Amino acid sequence: MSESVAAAVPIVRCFAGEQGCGLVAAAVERMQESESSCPHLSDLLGIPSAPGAERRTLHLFAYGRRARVVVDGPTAIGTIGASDLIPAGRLLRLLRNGPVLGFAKDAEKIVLLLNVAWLLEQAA
Amino acid sequence: MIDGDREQSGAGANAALAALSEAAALTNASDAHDASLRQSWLVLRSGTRWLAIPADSVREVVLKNFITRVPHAPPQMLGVILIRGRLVPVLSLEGLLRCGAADVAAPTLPRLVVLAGKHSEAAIVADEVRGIVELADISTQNQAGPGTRPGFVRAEISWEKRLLCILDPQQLLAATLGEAESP
Repeated sequence: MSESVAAAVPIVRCFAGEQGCGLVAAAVERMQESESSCPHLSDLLGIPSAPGAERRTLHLFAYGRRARVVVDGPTAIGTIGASDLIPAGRLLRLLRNGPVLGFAKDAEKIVLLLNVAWLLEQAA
Repeated sequence: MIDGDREQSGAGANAALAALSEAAALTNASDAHDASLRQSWLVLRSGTRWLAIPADSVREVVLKNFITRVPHAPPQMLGVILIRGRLVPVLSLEGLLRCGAADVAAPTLPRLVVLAGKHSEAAIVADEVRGIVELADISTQNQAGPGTRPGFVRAEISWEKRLLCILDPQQLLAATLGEAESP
């Protein structure tokens, strides 16, 4: 039986440095002020962080695991649908099991859609 | 005209037509042979290396714009870029060929050369683009043995007092993106 594809998925939009990112909102329990004891998304992804950026801590829960991760702002909640996605073809094969699930387009900029399972493993 | 003469002139004309046709066929074959020896190549510099790519494998050349780094991507991938709504991986030829960055001023702005594969496409960074040149049969000029170069380098030839690396785009895409695999 094939899985049905959702028409739109709610996501939390945030940044890792200057790079726009998105992750499924269903895995975010809450957002709070930045906590210095938590790993930063930029460090986990290996992306230079933005020193002056407003920061938030995302409390993640999925796959029976909890973790906290600091992200750069601005943060927002929205939805992402098929028309927002950029077909990545064979590129996705190379990225399998890594932090990037796919790519979306936002005003001609590329948004990295992050793999929550990978984030939980790295940040826990 | 009596029947014998008609037969003779008909046969002669037929033979003449056959000869003409044969000559035309030979001319075509000769042209085709020449064409197989000459090919158009896009010549560019990436870092310190001069490279040539078959012009018919180049989908487009665009100005180098912001490249989005993809975390945990293979080391040969610099990142991805959006070109008219297409997500195009950008490959690091400097890394693949283990050549350093050049410390020379380039007369042209850096560009991305988009290579077309059977199932995918990828771009390489060109620090300088020299343009399209015609090169004679490269196999006779090759200066490097097959064991001394990566599979996507078809040959290395001497060109304008430089070593020119002749790339095989399909092999390059296969080595970096798994292009040869079934879709």
